[in-house]
Amino acid sequence: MKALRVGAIISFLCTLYLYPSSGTAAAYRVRDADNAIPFVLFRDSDQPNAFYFLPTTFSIAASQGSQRIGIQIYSDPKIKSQVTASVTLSIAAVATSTQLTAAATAVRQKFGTTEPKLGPLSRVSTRMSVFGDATPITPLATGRWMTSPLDSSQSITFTVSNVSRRELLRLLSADAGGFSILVELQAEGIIAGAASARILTVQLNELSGRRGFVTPGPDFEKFVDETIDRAVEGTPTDKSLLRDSYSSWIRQRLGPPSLHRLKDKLLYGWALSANTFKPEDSSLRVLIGFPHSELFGSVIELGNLCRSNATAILNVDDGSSGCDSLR
Amino acid sequence: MKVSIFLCVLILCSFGKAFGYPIQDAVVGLPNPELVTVYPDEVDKNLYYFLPTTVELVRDADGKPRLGVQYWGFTGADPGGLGAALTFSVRPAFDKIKLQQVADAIKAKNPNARWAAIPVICSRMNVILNSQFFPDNQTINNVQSTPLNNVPPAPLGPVVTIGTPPATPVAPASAPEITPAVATPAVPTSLCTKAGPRSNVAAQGGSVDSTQAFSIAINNIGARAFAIKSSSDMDVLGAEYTYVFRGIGTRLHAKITVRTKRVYEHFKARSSGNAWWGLVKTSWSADWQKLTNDGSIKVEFLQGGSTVSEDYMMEVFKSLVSAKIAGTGMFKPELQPAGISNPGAARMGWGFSGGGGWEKLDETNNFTFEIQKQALEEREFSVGLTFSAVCGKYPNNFADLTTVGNKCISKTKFEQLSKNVEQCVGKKLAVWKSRLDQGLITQTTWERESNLATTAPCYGT
Repeated sequence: MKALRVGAIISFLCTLYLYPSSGTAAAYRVRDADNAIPFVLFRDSDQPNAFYFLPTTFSIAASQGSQRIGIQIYSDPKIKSQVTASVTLSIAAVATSTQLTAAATAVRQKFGTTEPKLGPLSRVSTRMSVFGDATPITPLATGRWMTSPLDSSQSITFTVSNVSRRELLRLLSADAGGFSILVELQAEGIIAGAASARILTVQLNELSGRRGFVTPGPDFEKFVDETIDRAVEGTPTDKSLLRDSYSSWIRQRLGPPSLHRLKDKLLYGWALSANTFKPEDSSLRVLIGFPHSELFGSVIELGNLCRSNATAILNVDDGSSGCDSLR
Repeated sequence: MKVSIFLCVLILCSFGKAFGYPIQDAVVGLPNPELVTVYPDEVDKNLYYFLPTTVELVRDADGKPRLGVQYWGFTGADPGGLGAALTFSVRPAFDKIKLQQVADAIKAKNPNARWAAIPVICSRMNVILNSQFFPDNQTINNVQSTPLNNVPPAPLGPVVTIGTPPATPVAPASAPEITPAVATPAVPTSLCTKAGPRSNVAAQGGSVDSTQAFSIAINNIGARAFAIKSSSDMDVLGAEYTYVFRGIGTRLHAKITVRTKRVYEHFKARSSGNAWWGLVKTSWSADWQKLTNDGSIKVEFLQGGSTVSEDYMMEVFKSLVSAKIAGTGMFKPELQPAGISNPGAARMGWGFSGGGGWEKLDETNNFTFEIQKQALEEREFSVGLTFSAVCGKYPNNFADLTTVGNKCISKTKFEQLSKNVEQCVGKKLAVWKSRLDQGLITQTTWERESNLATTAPCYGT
């Protein structure tokens, strides 16, 4: 009996040994006022020298020396004037060695960490949608939300059916406003700041109306900077906490960003007006450590595919390559 | 007996060593970073895990892809009509160059560093191929997983799921759960147990070096897309690999203070008459939001922090429910409205009846407790890549079953063939159209016959 008790105690101690405290923690957004870091940056809440970066630029993936895209064009045998295009492509996040070096240098300088540890953010979900140039902006295809490593590639296939040859040629050869891929990224983190404050909604609306539009990332941070001094009254012990809290609060009020077309360009963000914030939005209270997710977006304009990817286009009706058969 | 105790300890310790888990939020960082996701092991500080980040065509020792396309009926009349069969093998893959750079950097810091692929507990491989490229009668499963916002997605290009996923389990079948000092370990419902066509991950098992073979029938358009010798850089086929692995989730250590009077006030305002207040899981979320926003429930983070709101919310919820059932904490009997008739309280132990007993509570009478937990979590990742699996790129992998010895369909030959086919189809359509115009056939007959004319082989001029 005694031996069993001893065995149980040792087993328990052994269990503690097997699963020591790791101190793994969530990460919170850190500010990059002068945009020296070409990524969205998060900092580990328990390990101050650990940073996680989130690339917000995506492009068509490349392997074996070429971009991973293919377009097949074919017509309805009964209506030869109308064609269908089937597009298959892959995308990947962009993080060049120049960008990564710049990020490491900026983190060392800004945060005084001689040996920061930088790695890609772990908890990120992505979703791909494909758009033509139609208004209102409705997707030609939308993928599912999926989690994947930031260094991975993802694929999508979609069809543009029964359009005139001229219309398809216009979509494939437009330098801007042809096909676009929106990559939405949902990053999970926690709120860094803790503060209470009073919001002056009249002033905030006035500033919002003047601005008109804001995109996630550096542009949003700038908007926060522009408005915090004139539209927020608070007495925090740490002003940076008030800023973080205000930033979280304002995101919550704006809701998820969406796709807008401004001057023939697709932009992912929030349209602002003089009525964006309601009078009841007059106070904020944000707690440190609360779960928090932010949406970011990357718009990949496929551009003039007839020029840039002619060898990836095939007319399966006549076997010709490129867009000549559409002219 | 001593020997048995020793053996017990030895077995337990070595068992644990063998079954460490990757720490899912502790991506290994470097002074000079690379866009490569590497997880450290929870137990073995020298062990690092890497993940599949893409998919590739399987190749043999000579670099030749495991790809075969046989087509018929395009270079002459064929008893089998028009069609093709596509067979290929894919597998998960990594960016080996980047991974090597990271491995070298970690080795420089930790000479004892070792590497392992992430232990996959279930996986699925899908083919990405446009819906118009395979026959109508082929089994097709569209991607229908519910996105995070629970809004059904617009139709994505169809994904064909054919064949069985790899089945080489490499993870422990029954993983030991973490035993935290204070709280209950929480392993969510496994992502691998879902079944059916809407399953996120269809099959148990799989490993990051398993290959998966597919064989797909392709129709007329699809066959031409693959076999015409033009556009050698054109992607027409892809694969998506979805895998689930288990790892250590975020550590959470938080102090929760429930400001009793405010919480009572909140629920009293929501109640009417003798209605019972709250503590129903389905309605707790909205209450939680309000109570934490206005400070009625205060959460202080002592270590870590979960990104999942429910981690805190449900712990508080469970504690309140437990306290209510046991009559402890804020539900101690002395907090009940003294001398007030409360039929609800008589049945359930506590309730509002419009009485004033609860008013005696004050701000100092708080209910405080700590959450300290760390659990195993499953994570599902999906990666995909498209390939230039066409004859212009891999002519030796193509075979024309009609003109034996031929590989690709040459552009010149195809142009001539297309003209012939077009003329042939045109003649057939003209005949049926004329009959329709003369009222000799019905509209239904016209539609049937014209469809047949455009889909059936037609080679005559």
